[in-house]
Amino acid sequence: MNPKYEQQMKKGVLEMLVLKLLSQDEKYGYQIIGELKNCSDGLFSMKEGTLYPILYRLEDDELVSSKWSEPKGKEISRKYYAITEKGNQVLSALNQLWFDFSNKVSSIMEEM
Amino acid sequence: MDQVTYINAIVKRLHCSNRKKADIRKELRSNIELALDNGESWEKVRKDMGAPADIAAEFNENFPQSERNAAKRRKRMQVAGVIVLALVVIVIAVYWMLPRSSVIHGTTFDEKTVIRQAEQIIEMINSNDYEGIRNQSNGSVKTVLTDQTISVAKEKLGSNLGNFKSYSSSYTCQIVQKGKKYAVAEITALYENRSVTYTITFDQGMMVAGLYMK
Repeated sequence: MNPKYEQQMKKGVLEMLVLKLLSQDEKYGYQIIGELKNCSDGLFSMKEGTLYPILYRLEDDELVSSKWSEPKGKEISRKYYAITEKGNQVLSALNQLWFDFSNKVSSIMEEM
Repeated sequence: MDQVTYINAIVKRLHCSNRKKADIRKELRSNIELALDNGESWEKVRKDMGAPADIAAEFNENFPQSERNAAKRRKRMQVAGVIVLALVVIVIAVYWMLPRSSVIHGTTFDEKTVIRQAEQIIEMINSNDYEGIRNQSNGSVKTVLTDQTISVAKEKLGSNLGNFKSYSSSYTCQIVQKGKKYAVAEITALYENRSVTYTITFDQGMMVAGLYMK
């Protein structure tokens, strides 16, 4: 199958998944990529070129905020992203939408 | 390709503000360093991240309109800057090439010397002393002022000027062309049958650099 079909399907849920991961705790980009890959058993293997534009878009929409860490000693400075109050509200709405969406899609796929 | 080159290859392709580019550069560097610190090899990290052009394309596709506008503005300013610079260079070049004249007083040339020298040349023309004129001319003019050239020029003034009578007017100035200074004398000589205006140009060595008669 052409990989772009799979990519298109995954594309629709990435914002929601990123918000979900951030709703647990603030995280930096490399961490988000790693956790998403582990949680999905490798299904969501996001590249930096995909993740960072999503994070910047979420930040522009005020759904997440960011700050650079103060490195201690030889520690590498990291940019942490945290979900905002508005982000939590949107996540909740997306969660509900996903529930309805996935149910409807599943019922169509089963019927036909 | 090392880290710095890799990141530069991504950032230079981004269509966003300089501030955003700096932010992305810092974040990509941090990400790579974290991966390397985690034991991943640079080759694996680069392979996982993908080609710089693809990464940049993904960023560009997702930048908000404000970032794209900032990039367009920066590009317009760069183009405008190049155009202005080119125009300045052209203006300076034209200014340098075009002759600029000024009064001879206060320049390196002495007005009386210029007039006296110009009158000497006119006297040589009157007496057909073309060799004398060439001896007073600079290198490039000397080759042009052949006997034939001067004779033809005199013939165009008329077959019989008559005897020389006097000088009626003189005007001098300094011109600067391509960084070089010249003195120009315009002297009107009266002959029995008509007047002739000679325009004689001298270089800084007071050698003839131009000769015109009408």
